[in-house]
Amino acid sequence: MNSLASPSAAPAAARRRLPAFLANPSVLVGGLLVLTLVLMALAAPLLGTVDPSRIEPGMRLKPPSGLAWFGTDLFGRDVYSRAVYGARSSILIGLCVAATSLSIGVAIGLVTGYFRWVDAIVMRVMDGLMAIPTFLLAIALVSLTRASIATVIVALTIPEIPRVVRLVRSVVLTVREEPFVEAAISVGTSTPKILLRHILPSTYAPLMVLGTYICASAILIEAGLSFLGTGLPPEIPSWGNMISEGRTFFQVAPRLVFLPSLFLALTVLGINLLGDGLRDTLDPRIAKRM
Amino acid sequence: MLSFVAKRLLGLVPVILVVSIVVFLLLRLSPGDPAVVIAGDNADAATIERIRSSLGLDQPLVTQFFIWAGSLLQGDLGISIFSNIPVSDLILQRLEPTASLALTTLVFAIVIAVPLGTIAGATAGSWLDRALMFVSVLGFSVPVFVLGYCLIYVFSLQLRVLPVQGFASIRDGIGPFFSSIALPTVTLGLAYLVLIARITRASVLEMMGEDFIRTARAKGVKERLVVTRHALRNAAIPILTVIGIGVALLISGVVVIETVFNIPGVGRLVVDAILKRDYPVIQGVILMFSGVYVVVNLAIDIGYAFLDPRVRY
Repeated sequence: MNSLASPSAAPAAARRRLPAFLANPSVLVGGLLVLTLVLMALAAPLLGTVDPSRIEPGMRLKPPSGLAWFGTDLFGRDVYSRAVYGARSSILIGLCVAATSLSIGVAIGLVTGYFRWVDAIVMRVMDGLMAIPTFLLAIALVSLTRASIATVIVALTIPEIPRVVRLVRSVVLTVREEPFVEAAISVGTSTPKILLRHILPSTYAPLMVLGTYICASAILIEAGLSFLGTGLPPEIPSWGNMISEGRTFFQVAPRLVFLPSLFLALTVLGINLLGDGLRDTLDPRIAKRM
Repeated sequence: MLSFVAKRLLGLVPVILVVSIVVFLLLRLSPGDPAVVIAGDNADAATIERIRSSLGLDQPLVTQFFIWAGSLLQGDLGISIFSNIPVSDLILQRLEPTASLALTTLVFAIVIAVPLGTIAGATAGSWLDRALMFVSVLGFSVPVFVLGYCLIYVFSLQLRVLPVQGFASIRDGIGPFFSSIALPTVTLGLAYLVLIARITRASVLEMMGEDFIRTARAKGVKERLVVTRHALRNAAIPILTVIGIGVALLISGVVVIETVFNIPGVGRLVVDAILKRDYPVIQGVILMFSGVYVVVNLAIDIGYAFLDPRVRY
């Protein structure tokens, strides 16, 4: 796709266009969806939930009732409460993976894009990392240690870094030829200052878009890992874990799979809509770099 | 042309080197003694020692890498710790279901996505175009295993027209093969399909604004031919590219889908290996899938040069 990318720079100031975002239906719907789910995660104890980890052997696999709105699972835990609390781990993981991979990727990308000699080596490493399918790399990394929220975050961050590096690098490569960078160099601005003050701001808009996609992809991969039994430990209520435990009873109680699935799909849908909308409103040229 | 192919092949060397270093380090980076990790919690000292020497873990790291890479070059992926069978044999045994599923999915996705994306791109703004864009956002948001269970619920549990799980080889007959592979194919293929359809739409739409389209229309070419002969043909490169990149999506999907539908393929093999911490198998499967991904994308890259005289090499 590189051959098709427009050679012109994309330094549009994001601030000026703030109102345009909100006029975009995709941003509005996606944003509201995400906001609702974040609020739900934060206010989980207030939403008529019980302790999501409380095991009640007398209440195993009960159908929905006034007591348990979506019934109970194999261990008598309340399915509704677990699904609501599950939002916490998914959103936490999504945000952390996006934040970490963006910051590491930006640091590497700025340096690689600016210094040609680093570029050759670093980009070969990134190409190599990108040749390993994301999900497999994540699953292998997480299998190295005992799974916890922290190890899952690390395992999901590493495969995303090359995507960020590539994007930042491509922006740096175009921006560093711009007259304002040349001007900064000619008046003797130090290299770190050029990178941070003059080049970094051009990456904000595309990074915001990429960040939403990474967040969505991290949530999906975490759910996939937990679904396969290699993600978060089973005692943590997460949508992937719930689906994984529920699938044994899928034929008798499909709700065990469907409720967490619905939450999971809505979350990812909201984030994707937000990302698509941001991409379209911030700068149409961004789409070509992704 | 030959020098172009040679250059591309040479460019693979660093990629393969990095992939193999990462895969090699996977085991070595695990905290603690890898031999203890592999042996499990209840192993005695003799077992740990046996594993350590069989993996060459008593050698320096660089030596270990060269020993490992050397046998790799001879096609030796090591021996499964759990079953004591060579990893390459294990993979070969499990290859058929995975390869069948990958092929049916490729055909399913491409055959639907390209015409759909072309029509949507040529009629941008129509209801079909809007519907496609809506479905494509959904397709990216619903995890494969969730979609899998929805389809099982509808077609296997409610309508009872397709089996819930399992795999039938094509040697058992066409009927059983297709009925066992239909749901996994649709499940795995949907995300891939919408990805290809979206790119097809975007690149056909871009071509529709070009001068040569106006020229074709002006000389009285039928609209159908304008779209297929002129727009779609020139839009081929991004479509081929995304078909190649999307293979990564298929690989990730296969790993999950084989668990959902209980298909005894390579994906199931690697998941079981991870649950049992059978590192040589994990390493072997990752190498194999990365190799497939790299080779497919190389083939597509070289394919451009044959297909499109504008690509310089």
